[in-house]
Amino acid sequence: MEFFIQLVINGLMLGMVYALIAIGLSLIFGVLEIVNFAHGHFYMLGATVLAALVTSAGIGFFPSLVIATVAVGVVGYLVYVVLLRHFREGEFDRGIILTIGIGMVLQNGVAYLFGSSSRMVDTSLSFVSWDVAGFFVDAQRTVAVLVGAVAIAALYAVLTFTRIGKAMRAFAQNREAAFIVGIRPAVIAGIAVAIGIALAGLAGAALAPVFAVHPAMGAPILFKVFAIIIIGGLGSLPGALVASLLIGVTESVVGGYSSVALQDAVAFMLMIVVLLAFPAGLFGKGIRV
Amino acid sequence: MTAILTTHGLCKNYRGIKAVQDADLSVARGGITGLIGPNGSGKSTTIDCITGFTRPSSGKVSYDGQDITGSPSYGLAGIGLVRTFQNVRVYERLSVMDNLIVASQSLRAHGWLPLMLRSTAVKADEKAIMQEALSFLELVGMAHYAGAPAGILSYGQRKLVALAACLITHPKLIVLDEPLAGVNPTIIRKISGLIETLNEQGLTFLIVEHNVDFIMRHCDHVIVMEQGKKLTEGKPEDVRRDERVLEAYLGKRVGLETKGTAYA
Amino acid sequence: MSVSTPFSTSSDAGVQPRLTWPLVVLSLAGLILLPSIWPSSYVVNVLILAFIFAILATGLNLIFGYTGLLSFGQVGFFGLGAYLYALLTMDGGVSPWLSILLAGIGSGFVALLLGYPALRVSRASFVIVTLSVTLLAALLARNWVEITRGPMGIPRLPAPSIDLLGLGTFSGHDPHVFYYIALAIAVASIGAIYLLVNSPIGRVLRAINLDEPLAASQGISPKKYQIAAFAVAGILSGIAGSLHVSHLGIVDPSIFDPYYSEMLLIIVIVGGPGSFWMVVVSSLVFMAIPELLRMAPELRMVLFGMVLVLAAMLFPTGVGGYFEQRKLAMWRRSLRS
Repeated sequence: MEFFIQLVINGLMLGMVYALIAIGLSLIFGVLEIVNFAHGHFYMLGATVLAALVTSAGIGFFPSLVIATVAVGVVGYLVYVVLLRHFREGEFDRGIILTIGIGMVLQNGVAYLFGSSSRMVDTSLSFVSWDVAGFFVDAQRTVAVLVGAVAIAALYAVLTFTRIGKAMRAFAQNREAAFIVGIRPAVIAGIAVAIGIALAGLAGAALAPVFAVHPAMGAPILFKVFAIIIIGGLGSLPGALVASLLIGVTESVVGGYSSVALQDAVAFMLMIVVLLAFPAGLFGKGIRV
Repeated sequence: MTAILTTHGLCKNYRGIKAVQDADLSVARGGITGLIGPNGSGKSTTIDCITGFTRPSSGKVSYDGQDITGSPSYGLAGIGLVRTFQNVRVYERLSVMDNLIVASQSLRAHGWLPLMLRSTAVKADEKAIMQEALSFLELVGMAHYAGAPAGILSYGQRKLVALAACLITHPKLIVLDEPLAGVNPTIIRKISGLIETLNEQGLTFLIVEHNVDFIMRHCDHVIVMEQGKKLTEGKPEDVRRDERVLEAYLGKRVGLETKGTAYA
Repeated sequence: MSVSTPFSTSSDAGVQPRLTWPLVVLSLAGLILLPSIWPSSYVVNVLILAFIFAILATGLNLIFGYTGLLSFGQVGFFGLGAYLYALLTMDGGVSPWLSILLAGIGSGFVALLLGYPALRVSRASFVIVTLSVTLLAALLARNWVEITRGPMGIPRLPAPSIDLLGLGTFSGHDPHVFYYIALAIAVASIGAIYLLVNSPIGRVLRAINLDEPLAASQGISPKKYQIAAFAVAGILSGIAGSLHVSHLGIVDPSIFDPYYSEMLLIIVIVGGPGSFWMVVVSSLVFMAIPELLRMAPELRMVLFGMVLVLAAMLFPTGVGGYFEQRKLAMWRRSLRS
């Protein structure tokens, strides 16, 4: 039983990280109807920037976290302004091809500049773990989870209480609605893309001390998050959150009792089951593309 | 006259909105039935339900003695029920001729291997279909565009090609969704004349149209819908005088008498 | 105004320049003679890879360019075909030639089973499901050690050989022999797809791609055709995969490397989805480029990424689409006069 609870705790932590990435991806899909294939590479970029700041520049973990998140968000905004802005509805395949190209540039650009080997990031929290009521809790992971929870709560507050946030939700429902709110669609979409990509960068930066940082780290997590947003329902933010936690826990439990291989496969198998049983996803609005 | 198409208690709800409620419609075989009503009265949803593009929430659709409720759209052309679309649809990157060949059903009866290798039977069929397509294109006056990509045609010309594409499926009932919207008076006359001619040859039409003048002139039966329900039905001249119909339209500040001035 | 109506029976609004057939025959003759003129086994090996990618790319062109479904499953079926070949020849004792055929059929069959759930919801889910299947296949290859031998892979694979009566047997392990085997299989499979896309079936596929509701209203079941096209594309990928590993002599999980997916996508996008010959030419060009452009592989992939970005931004229809635009412009001019 204790082993099981330990697995669930680990799973919730993992799920929280998935959620950060999945919610950003879902947000971008909601406003632009583009499946961002470069999303995982922005996660990698966040981790790389943090690693450079902490290891090379000697800046502390938390300031680096903020800088990395903002930097990735700015890159995301530029990507929107220069490229994504020119897309119209219904150009679904073009969006995928474009973002795959962006991802290739990011991954191979980082590999060219920084080398493609794995790097570890040591912070003051590395190798610290806490004993909470008999359960082993890794400090660095806990920080990552807390940072993620704060970010998700902040996003929720922005979407619920601010004018721009409400506009974003309205925009995802109905493009014309944005005009009624009185904010230009391009502004709304730009901010949504910047936030979504910044969240991926934040996840990468927060986890950089936990996992090894390397240029190819983006793709595997991205593919898992794709499965998650299909399970949660494309474009649904609560769906993305719930499915992330669900997959995180399932993976952790499966990994604990069975094999690591099965752990990696579980999200994809669950996705195919969900597609057969609930075609629009667990929380889907049934967005048609 | 017997009915070729009937609906009983047809309902369609979209997320709590009742787009169509309890509609009992009947289309007489060999006739031209008009379906009119203000915007948002449920006409388009009704024909989407009939032609298999959306599944009715409840109710029954019968066509030619068969229950076709909820059958997929692609199952209907084979039994002679075809439709056009409100914003006309053609395959823009195929030639006009290919638009018709695709629509024709006889080629699809061959196996994939004979089709790939173009067996003599396939070749003969293809030749016959091309002749037939050409004759339908001549009928609608588009024969000299046969080789042109449909994407270069004007809106009205596309409507003519779409009509020819319906004809090559050998339909019994054609459902036209706003055949006259957005086309110039010359093509309006052309389409009206075609509908009359084809009807005389035995084709049945169900026509959704805003052009009330057209409906009054050409339909032998008119169904009026309002807010998802059937308001009334009858002969055009009776419907025209019906207080409720006037009110439904006047409520939208569009009088029946003033509508459709473009139609000459 | 009267325009004569030389309407094409080949349904080709996508435009082949008039020179296509002479060019195809000439290129084929060139490819047959090339090893005798330029007997470098280096050149021969590059071309073998180009033939394999041409088969793979033609499969993606069928499902994406003609049918309109962006599939990331092609590399999955490529790997599946590769493993099927290895298992059939090594564990099953099946002859290499038959194994190539069975690898194609097996991959096509898996695609057929997968088509329905993948197409059930939307085009977005099709993309993600096909991608996931490739990833699942890679996971299986790495972890189902009893069957796949895990990360070490299965070495010492046989190659098909040619038995010419009276002249002796030519082993496919010789690149010059394998060159002709790969060329023959490429011509046969690409030729079959050429017949398919230019047949009435191809016309229906394009129609579904252009306007699915219209096709459905005309009695065409879109899913039936889409799933069939997906299966055929799966067969091509399986054949390409088995050919590839019979040449390499080993199969291991790196057969699922994203490199293959990325190159495949670039080839089809730059050639022009739905442009038959341009995609074939593009396969040859993109396999030759790395040999001509000697630079750090990362930098090359950065360049290729930029090519994808530029193509998506400026030329979404690729080189082949450019010809089509020109034909449309020509039609407009001729109808105006």
